[in-house]
Amino acid sequence: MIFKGLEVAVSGMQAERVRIDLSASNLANVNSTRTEDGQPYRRKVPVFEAILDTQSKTPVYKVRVKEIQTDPSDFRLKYDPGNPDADQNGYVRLPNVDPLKEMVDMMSAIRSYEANLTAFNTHKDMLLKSLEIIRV
Amino acid sequence: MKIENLTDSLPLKLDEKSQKKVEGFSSILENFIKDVNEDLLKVKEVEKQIALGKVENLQEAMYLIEKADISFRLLTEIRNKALESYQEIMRMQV
Amino acid sequence: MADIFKDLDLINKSASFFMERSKVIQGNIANANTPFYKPVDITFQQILANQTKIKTTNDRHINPESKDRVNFVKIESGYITGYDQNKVIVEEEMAKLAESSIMYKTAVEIMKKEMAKLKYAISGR
Repeated sequence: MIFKGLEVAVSGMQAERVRIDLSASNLANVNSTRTEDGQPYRRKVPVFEAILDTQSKTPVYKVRVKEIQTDPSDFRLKYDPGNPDADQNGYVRLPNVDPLKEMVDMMSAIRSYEANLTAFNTHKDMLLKSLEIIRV
Repeated sequence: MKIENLTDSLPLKLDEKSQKKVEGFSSILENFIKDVNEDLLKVKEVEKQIALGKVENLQEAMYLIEKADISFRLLTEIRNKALESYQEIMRMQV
Repeated sequence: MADIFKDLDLINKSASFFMERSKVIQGNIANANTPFYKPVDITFQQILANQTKIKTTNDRHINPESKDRVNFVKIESGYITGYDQNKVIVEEEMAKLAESSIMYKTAVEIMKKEMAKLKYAISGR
């Protein structure tokens, strides 16, 4: 109950971490033409959801990753007849991952993570400050 | 400034007045002690709540603790002073 | 008896408000990337009204559990910064958080000072 504020910041940090992890996963699989189902890798995106926490007197909004969706957009096509995954026309289907977009997204997620971390530390300082009231 | 009549400060009347005052003071003191005691009990409860992790507002709890501490100090100081003056009176040579 | 703590009670309430507000603003920062999220805020009047209401019902109650919740004030002045309909402006929220934090620390310092004064007056040293 006392640490509700810290919980909020942590929920934000966790959500952003998932986003960073997914960006990293997308970047790592930028050339994966095969997954378990035989299809090329599809870009994964997290869906965030705001949750109203009414446990304490002042309700607060937390955040959580509701689900991880796959980007349904088309695969990239590349002409590479020598590739074992190429079709009869010589085209290889590559994942629908845009490395530039992923990098930008990752930077944005890191900044958001840092913002939540700053909020966490600010709140922690405030809590510690209240302990000073009873310091002799 | 109003000059008061001498009869107003007759010894008999003064005695009555002072007696009433003594009663008033003792009841004030009693109420004060009761208040401080309640505050201290409240603080005990707050401390228990903190230990159980049920406190919502940390600084409010700290404030209550410190408030009770100050009240308690005030009470002890008054007690010391009262005792001192009592002993002073007892030492007085008749 | 309670008179010597009258001013301190108000400062304490103000400190409570800034603590609660910082929690709410943290929620805004955490939801800076949530689609369709609109930032919220609370006002001092709400906290004050909430606490005084509790006080009149039961004066001796410690840490009162009130069912009256603080209502949010939706901030409508924000603009949509992205395609996800999110209206949080992180810079503004960080500024508000810093403001709350500084005001909170100031309130605590004032409380400390006032209490030190009272202690000094009582002990005389």
